[in-house]
Amino acid sequence: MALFESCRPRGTWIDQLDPRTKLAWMGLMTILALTVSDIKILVFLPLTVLASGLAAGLPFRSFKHPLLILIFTGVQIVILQVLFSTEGQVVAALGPVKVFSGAFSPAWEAFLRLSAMMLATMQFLRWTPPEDLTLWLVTTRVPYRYAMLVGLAMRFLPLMEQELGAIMESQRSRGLPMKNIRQKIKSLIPVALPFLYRSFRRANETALAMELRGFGYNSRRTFLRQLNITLAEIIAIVLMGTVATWNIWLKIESLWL
Amino acid sequence: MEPFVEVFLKKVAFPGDEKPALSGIELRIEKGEFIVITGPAASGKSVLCHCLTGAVPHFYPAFQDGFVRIGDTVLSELSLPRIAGKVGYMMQDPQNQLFSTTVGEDVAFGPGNMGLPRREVRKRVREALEFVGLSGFENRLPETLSGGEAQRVVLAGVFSLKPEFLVLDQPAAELDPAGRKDIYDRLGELSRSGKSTIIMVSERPEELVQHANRYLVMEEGRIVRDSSSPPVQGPYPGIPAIFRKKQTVEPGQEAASLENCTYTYPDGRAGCLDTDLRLFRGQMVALMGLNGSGKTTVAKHFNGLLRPASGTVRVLGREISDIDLHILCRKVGFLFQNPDFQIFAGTVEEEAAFGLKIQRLPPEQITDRVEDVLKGAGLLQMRKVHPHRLSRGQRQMLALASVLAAEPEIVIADEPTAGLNYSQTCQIMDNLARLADEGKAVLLVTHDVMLTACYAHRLVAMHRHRVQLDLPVSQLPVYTTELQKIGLDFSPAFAGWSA
Amino acid sequence: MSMIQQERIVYSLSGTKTFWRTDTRALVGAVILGVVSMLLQQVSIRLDQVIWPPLIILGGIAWATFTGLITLIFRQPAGIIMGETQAFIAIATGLSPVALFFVPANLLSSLAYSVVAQKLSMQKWSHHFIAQLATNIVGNICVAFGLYSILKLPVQVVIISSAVTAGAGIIGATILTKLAVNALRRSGLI
Repeated sequence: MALFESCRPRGTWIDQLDPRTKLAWMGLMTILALTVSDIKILVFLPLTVLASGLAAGLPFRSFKHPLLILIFTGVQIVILQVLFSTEGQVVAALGPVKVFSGAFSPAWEAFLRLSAMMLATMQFLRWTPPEDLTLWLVTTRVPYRYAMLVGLAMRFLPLMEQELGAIMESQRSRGLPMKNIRQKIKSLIPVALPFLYRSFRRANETALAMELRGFGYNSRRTFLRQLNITLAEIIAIVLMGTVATWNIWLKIESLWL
Repeated sequence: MEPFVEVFLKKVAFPGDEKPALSGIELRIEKGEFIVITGPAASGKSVLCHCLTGAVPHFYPAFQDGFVRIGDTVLSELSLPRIAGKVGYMMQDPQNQLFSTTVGEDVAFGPGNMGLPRREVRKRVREALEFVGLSGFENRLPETLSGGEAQRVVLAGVFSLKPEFLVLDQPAAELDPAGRKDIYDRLGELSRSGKSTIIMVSERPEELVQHANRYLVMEEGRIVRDSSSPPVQGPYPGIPAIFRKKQTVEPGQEAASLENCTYTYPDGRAGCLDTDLRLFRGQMVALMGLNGSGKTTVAKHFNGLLRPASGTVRVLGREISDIDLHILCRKVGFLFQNPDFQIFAGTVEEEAAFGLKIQRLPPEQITDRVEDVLKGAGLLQMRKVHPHRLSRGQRQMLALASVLAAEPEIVIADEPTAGLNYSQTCQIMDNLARLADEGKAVLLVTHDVMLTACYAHRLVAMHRHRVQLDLPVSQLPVYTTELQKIGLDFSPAFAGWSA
Repeated sequence: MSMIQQERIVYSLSGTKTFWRTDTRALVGAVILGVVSMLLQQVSIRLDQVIWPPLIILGGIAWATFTGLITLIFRQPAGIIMGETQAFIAIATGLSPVALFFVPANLLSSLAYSVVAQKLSMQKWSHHFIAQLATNIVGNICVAFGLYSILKLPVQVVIISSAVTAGAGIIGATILTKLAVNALRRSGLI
């Protein structure tokens, strides 16, 4: 399954927003996910991210795959805590492993923090066109030769994901078994190396093609669009910044005491 | 008067190589010319292209004795981005030449880098897309383009810089015949309008007679022929297969079959519908059809890469649902279009031995078989060489050799000759034909009507995910209209035949 | 021959010790190899998770190998660009609960590798070992903070798990980086 759905216009208000606003939203969600310690508030974070995504016109199915991964990771976190936590009382014993009651609350907390961060980042990539990110980086005086690499990564990701699949097929067709774990581990090198060779070839060709289309001709270049930020967005960013700073301050204070 | 382009390269050599890549190149090109370069593998065609665009020595460091002058510019004196507006370069794989997330941004890449005013950039994007016939594609994502469309977007991107000199290294090698013709016609128009001077590497110069005015042949780093008529490349050695005795030979036992197979991809795309296909020993079957008609899907059923949603696949008399893929692979060899998807070993011989090592054959047997197949592939001399030092065609021969080393009973070849030149194609196809002669079943997935006419015994044509026609190649002339209806035009093959 | 050309020949022919490399080939290479590294890490970390969730062994080796390989071939800022491309995608795809900590981990470990690679010729096994030692220690310290603060694992567990990942990374990546660089040199692609 594809890791990413590329960003495309959703035909809703989200297309009009400046990338800085979206960035601030992602930053705020991440900082809250890391700093909020009240579980009751923490529960709302991933839900808020999800709701904002749906309101912006991202279809629910685009969250399906990340949610599956989250559940998988959640189970892992529970296993980790069950294995290592020794807080609270023993509630069960699985062979030599004693399960303590204190294992579940940190697991639940970690799961919520992770969900909020992951959904916020994923959402950011789905609703921010890479060109917008490039334009934003250019406004922060990052030279365009670097700023444009963002788009390049997004451009090649789906292509290379397909290629990795084709390489696996190709090696399986030569009789390389990839069924059980041991076989899969043994197949890592025969899969990774052709991918590496191909990618070096690709990098060379792409870099050459870019230079011959004038990449690096001047220190500045013309972009097809320019960013326009509204006053309302600036106010929103300031507000989000204030909330984030305030939470960081609270966190530092609580750690101090 | 001074010619528009002047190339004088006494010697070009890459560090570490014993032989120079180019020597004694003297070339004068007038404005508006359309020149085609051909030549065997590793004859220096691509290196010459690199020199003509400044890629050598600016990007690929090399010792260069001589100069390339375009207009009043000597290329070695300018950096590559500065050369960009003067020379356009298009290479084989379009996907490596698209760098943006939308088609519009991509075409704007060059003019944007030049720092032209935004309005001018937009105008150029519009004009360039119109020129390649892709108006309205501005917001399309590059990975959703077909091979032909992607290459046209690259052309638009190069064209938007309005270069006076265009260098093209096999720009259409991996496209189907219709896609190739489209690109060639547009280039021809460009050269006739006097806007660009064109030099292009192509393995099929005969396809360019309408447009080109001059043909160069290269061998071992030199230009050995410079003429206004295309070099004559023989028809494939098999021609005309329609007369070949083998056509009348009865096929042997059934080797594999698909019965009523239907497959849908996980994302909902149709793969194949209700497909019946039987492969016989001693017979080469050509599986043809337009892009997306389901050929590759069908082929992947024979070695278990895909399992049908309904229907039965039998290989050597057994239903394959209960056979593991890696066991099945010993009986069914699969040769892919791109050898680079599998090559990973440090030497040619290790690469050829890979499949046998997985099977844990005794070392002596592995050595013997590898030596055999490498001899057959003409790679025995290079057994210690790193596979990526081989040319593209040689890498494909190596992939074939490693398939054959496993001594399969059935060989599936999916576009095995795409992007290869004439002699490499013959080499691959002669090997496949020999396998059929030896009593193996061969399935050739191809776009190439000439290959089918010259080598195959039977043609299976697919259209919209179903098998539309299944006939002996000797019957081809009878079915021309039916075949044309599903996009398969055999007239070039018959033209060669009647001549 | 211009200065730039001479510089490029030097880059491609030997492991000359420069810290920076800002040509297009290095920048584009960093991004593309960042995608490669991310995809392969997805595969190997998923395998790790099936084997024994608390320990990241294959993923650690893959991470350290790519950090070393790219930093060695393309220098800086390519090493950092690759690392951050990979970290960001790791967060967005839920690769690991502690993916956020890959951001500082990848930055600092790539710099650590560069510093060692600049001081040593990187021709010997021992040089690769020292470089990987630095990379893995720096990177795993960052991730250890994540294991402690996000997953709330006991300190002892964090130390053991990080030490095992680092140990596997140092040994595995020393071998793989050197073999991969040699293979790429022989293939003529770098």
